[in-house]
Amino acid sequence: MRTCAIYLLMPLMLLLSSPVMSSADEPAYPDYMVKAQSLVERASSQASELGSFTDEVLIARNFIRNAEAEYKKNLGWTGKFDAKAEPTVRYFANMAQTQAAIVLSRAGKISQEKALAAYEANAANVKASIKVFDDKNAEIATLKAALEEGGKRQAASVEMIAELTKSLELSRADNARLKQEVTALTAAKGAEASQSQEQIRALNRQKDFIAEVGKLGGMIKAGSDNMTVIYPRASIFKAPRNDRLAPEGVRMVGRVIDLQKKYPEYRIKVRVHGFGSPTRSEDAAATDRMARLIRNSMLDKGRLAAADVDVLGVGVAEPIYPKSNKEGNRRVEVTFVKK
Amino acid sequence: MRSILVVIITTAVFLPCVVCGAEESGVQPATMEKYQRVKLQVEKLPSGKAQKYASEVIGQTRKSIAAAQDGLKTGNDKLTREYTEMAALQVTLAGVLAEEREAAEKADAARKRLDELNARLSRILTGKGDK
Repeated sequence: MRTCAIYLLMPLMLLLSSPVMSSADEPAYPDYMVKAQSLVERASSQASELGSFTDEVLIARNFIRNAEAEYKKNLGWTGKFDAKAEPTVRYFANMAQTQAAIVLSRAGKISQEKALAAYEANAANVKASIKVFDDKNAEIATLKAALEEGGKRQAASVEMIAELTKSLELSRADNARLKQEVTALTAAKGAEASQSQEQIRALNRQKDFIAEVGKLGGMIKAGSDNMTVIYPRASIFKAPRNDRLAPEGVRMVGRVIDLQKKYPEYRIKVRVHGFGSPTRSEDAAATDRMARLIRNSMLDKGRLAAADVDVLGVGVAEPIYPKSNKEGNRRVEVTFVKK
Repeated sequence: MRSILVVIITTAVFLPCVVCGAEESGVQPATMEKYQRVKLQVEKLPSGKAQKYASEVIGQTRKSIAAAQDGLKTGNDKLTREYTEMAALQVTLAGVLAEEREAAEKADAARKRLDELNARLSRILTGKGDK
């Protein structure tokens, strides 16, 4: 009977125990254990990928195995877990979870550091690329500045050229004006010089004329604009009738003719003076005849123009000496007057 | 001299009693020593990086060390040892997590900087200007 009961209960026990065990003979762990297992698996996977943290993973695995073992150990034949063992199981699970978290954090740190290195490397590359543009921009800015400076200089040069051109034009105008002034001055100077030369020539000629007049013999009397040569009348005319020229008178006429021809700017004024008695041979009429004799002689011999020879018989009207000097007052004055 | 002798005698009489008391409570000296060491580490945590980056772990660590202290008070060596070990591991986790998060922060900052640089380069390349 007892054996029959055992055989009857066996399938029931197997049936009851089957939900507790998984297909791989694993019990259904509580959530906190599943969570810990999962975390340990993740840590293990990460460590494998990195090829590191082997010891830490091993510790985590040991904790979870301890938890599993403790859990299994405290499962009743009905599959009920002994609550007294829970703190220990929970302890191992928590330790496994914490250890796994440490591994994951370390792996995460490595991952973040790699990412940081990659970001920094990329940033360095991008910075280098940007720097190329920055450098080019700086070059462009420098070139722009240089161009602007060049433009300013060019503008300044153009302005300067304009000023210089203006100045040149002014200088040319000044030059032309100065040339005109110089020409005018030269002309004026030339005219002045010419005038001076003319004056000098005239003065020289006058001087020569005076010297020539001095050679005519007789007494010289200079006026403001004339020269008078005074001859004694007795030396010019044949006495006593005074109707013919004496040889000295002929020579005098000849010299006067030569002189007038040499200095045609002068005309001749002949004045014959009488003095004393007899009146008929000393009066104006008598002296006028004598004067005409000289004029005729001059016109005939010298072929002088009639307008160039002017004669006058003064008579006794203009004595220059006292009465006692009768011959002194009887005189012939040949005056050279500037035309 | 006399006072020194009193101190020595008092210590000689009471120390064995204290040790015997501890032994009587069941907490092993090694456990106590470890508890003290870990407690010190837990106390130092707020002054490190963990305070900034892993404050939640510091909270857990404090709970663990408090539980260990409870075990110590009740003379439960196993409880004290387990929570002390837990606290020790959490101290390590706090440090490691802080380092990871700091690295993540740096990486994030570097990524942002890289994004900015990429955006700047992109603007340059598309001719939209550098600023």
